[in-house]
Formats: sequence, C-alpha cells, structure tokens
Amino acid sequence: MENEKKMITLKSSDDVTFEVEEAVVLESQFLSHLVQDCPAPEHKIKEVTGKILSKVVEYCEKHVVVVVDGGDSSSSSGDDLKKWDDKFIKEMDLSTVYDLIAAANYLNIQALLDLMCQRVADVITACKDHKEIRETLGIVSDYTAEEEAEVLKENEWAFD
Amino acid sequence: MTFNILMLPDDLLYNCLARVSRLHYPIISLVAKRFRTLLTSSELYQTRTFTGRTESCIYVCLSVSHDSEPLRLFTLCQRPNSTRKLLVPVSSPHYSHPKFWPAVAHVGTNVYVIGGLINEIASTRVMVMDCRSHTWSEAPSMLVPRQSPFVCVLDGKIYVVGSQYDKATWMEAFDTKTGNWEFVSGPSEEICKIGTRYRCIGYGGKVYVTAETGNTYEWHRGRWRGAPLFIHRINFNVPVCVIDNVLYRCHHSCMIDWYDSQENVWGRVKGFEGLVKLTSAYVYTIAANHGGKMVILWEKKVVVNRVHLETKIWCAEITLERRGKEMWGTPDWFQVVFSTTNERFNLLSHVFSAIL
Repeated sequence: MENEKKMITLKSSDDVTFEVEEAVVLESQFLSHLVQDCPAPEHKIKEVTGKILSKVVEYCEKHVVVVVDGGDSSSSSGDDLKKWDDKFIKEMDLSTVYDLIAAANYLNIQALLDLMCQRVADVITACKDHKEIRETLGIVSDYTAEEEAEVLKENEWAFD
Repeated sequence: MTFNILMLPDDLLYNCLARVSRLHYPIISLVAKRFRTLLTSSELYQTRTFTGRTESCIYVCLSVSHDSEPLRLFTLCQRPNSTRKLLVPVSSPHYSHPKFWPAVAHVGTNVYVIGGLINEIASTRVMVMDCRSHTWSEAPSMLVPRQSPFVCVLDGKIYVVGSQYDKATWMEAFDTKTGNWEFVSGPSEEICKIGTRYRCIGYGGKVYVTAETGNTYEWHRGRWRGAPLFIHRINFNVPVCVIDNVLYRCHHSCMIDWYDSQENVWGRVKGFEGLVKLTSAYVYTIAANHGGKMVILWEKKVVVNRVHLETKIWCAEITLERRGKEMWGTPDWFQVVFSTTNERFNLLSHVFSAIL
C-alpha cells in the first residue's frame, strides 16, 4: 500500500534495535544518505550506544511529528516543542549531554546539536566562578599552582 | 569511565563556548589550559560569527603623560553575574612602544597603532592587535615615517595624514583587505606645509581633512575640493563619530549633536541632558558606534583646593532613535568604569567597539 509508512530498523553499537518511520530517519543528514545509498531494512550505527540512540530517536520522533502537525493548524506547536525540548534536556545528566553532542554531530542532526551545545553553555554561564565550573563539569584542572596564580592575576578584575 | 567534556573534539567545544557571552571568558580560561587556548583561537570567533553569537565589545585608549607607555589600551568588561562594568588593561606589544603620539584606528576586529616616535626617531611602523586574541603583530609599514599622524577610517581603508610637509607624501592610505599602502596626493601646498595637527573624518563615502589653522578639504573619488559648511561647523577639537550613516559631534559634558543631512542642520541629541550636571568645569566627552548604539565616555577630575585627588571615567550606552526631525538618546546604563589617583592619566584618547 502506498500510504503505509516505510519502517527502518536502526541497530546501536551494543545491538539494541529501534524500529522507526523513515521520516524520523530523515531528521539526520547522515542517516538520510545511508538509507538512500543502501536500501537494506536494518542499519547498524557502530558509533552510538543503545542508551544514546534511544534519546536520539526520541528527539527525532518528537520533532518529525510537530513539523507535520504545524502544517495543519496548531499555532502553539513551536512553543510546545520548546517546552518539550526544555523538559527533554532537564532530565538529562551532563555525561549524556556530551554523548548526545558527539552523536548529533556524527549523525548530523543540527537542531539536536544546537540544543545540546546550548545546554552546556547555559550550565557554564550559571556558574559563579572557575571552581564551580570544574565541579559541575567534572574537570580536573591541569594548571600548576603557579600557572593558576598567574592566570588568576591576569583576570583578578573579574572577582571581588 | 564517564564521558568528560574535555573528550569532545575542538570543533564541538567551540560550538558550546561560542554560545557563552564573552563576559564569562576570563573565568572559563581559569578552568583548564585547554579552555584558555580555545578561548583565544580564531576558530572560536568564526563559530561565534556562524552561529550569530557575536557581541559588540568596547575598547578604550587612555593617554598618560610623561610615561614610558603613553597610550594604554583597555577593554570594557563586566564582572560575571553582576552589573558592575570596568575598564581592564589589555597587554601592550612587547616591542618598544611609541613615545610620542602614534595614531590609533579600528577596522573590523583589529586595532592599528600607527607611527609615532620610537627611540627618538619618527616611525613608519604599524602595530596591529587582534581583539579576539589580544595578540599583537606587525602590519605593513607606512611608506614614510610620521611622528604624530592623524587618521580616519572609510570603507575599510585607513587614511593617515600629517608629519610630512610635501604634497606628494602628506597623506597615505592603507587598504586593510589587501595590506597595501598608497600615497594620496595632498589638496594644496599650503595645507601640507602649515599644519602640524589635523582632524580627519571619514563620513558618507568621503574623507574630510581640516588643518588646525586652515581650511577643510573633502576627498572623494580621487579628487580634493573645499568641504561643505556643515563640516566647517565642527570645532577642531571636538571628537566625532558616525553611527548608521549619521555624523555626531561631542561637545563637553555629554552634549552631543547630530547632523541632519536632509535638512543640512546640526541638532542636539535629546534625552540625556541630565547625565552630567552642567557646571563650569569642562567635562571631556568622546563617543563611538557600538553596534548601532552609541557609547559615550567622559572624565571627571576630583580636585580639592587645586590638588588632584582622583580621575573618574564614566561610560554610558545610549539607544538612538529618530523621532521625526529629532534624534533621541536613551541611556541603557551609565556608571563609573575606571578611577585612578594617578594624575598623569590625563585624557580619554579613543573609544571604539569591535564586533567579536
């Protein structure tokens, strides 16, 4: 039947499978090309784990649906989508955010990449000083005490 | 092992950091060495441009008399998570610094320091600072040395005049795109010979040059002629700036006029008369284009019984709005951004705003 939606199976690096509509796959530039070039029903994505791929699929499914709805009537779909994005990202730990940045970059999903990078930027902006940034992002400083004192002196104006 | 942000490749870190206001960069540079390196790279600023995250950043030159470093460059910073703004010094080039007045020009993301007296000799040297990384390098030298040049910028070219008394060498222009200097022959022998100080204005596709004691000339499409009256009506020592093709002149005490080119008249910008209490004291004021807004700075000296106690520099960001035949300015904010007890800090020299 012509109207029946074409389904595609994605398989993660750790062999978790996701059956999705073709429209969902088209959100990713990388997968679009893959599906076009290779008409197999199942595609293995070696670089992305099942945990992260499930998030990618969740994001793409939500965004596909809204684009279709938006064409019909709902004028608040943009706002709804933003609310959904906010909730999607708030429930996520930073380690997942980093994985999703890498995955969105690899799969070439620009909107997801933007959303995740903005999340990191917002987290950094909310920190009051470098120590809080280290703590929040889990970074161990590679400055020696002398080097840090020097950079601190250069930027002393930024602190009370 | 958990995925750490530092495991992301540079281009993805740029994508994150480009979205953070530049105000936070000093504290981010303290987090780890890699961040410090990333924050001064041109790729980061390219990403800011691509993603539409550029900000207008204010730079100010202050002059200090009888000092080994007579011209000092500052940038306006804001403390993270605060509204307090302040002028923070930007490092000078490591080379010997011009002792006598070099000219300063701003084009795009670069600041040019041109000529001046270096080791008692008039210099052809041009130093350029990239505002993105605050690093200095040497730009192509002028064709002739100039110990005290005067400059203006028009369409990406820097026009330099003075300290040369021959018509053929009196003026030269630097094309910042091609990196080439070329002479612009002067309008008359007299203006080239008599002047030691000039005022140079780039406005409306033309360069206007006034000698301190003499006429004003207009340079347009390779030809000189006498300048129109509205240019003559700008006092010699009055700083000017151009914002969205409108010419402004700064009187003392934050009184700023705009030139209405349709009516061919100068009018006072209304709306911020109260910024400075009008006193008999002369409050020197300079202004610049700040991403379509106006930034103005003025200095106030605190003097008690003829003893200088402190100099304070105030700064205001002004939103300009044309209402019919009037121009209105609304201060978004104003505050003291610099104070010093060193009385040799004597003049606001330049202000400009770079989009970074």
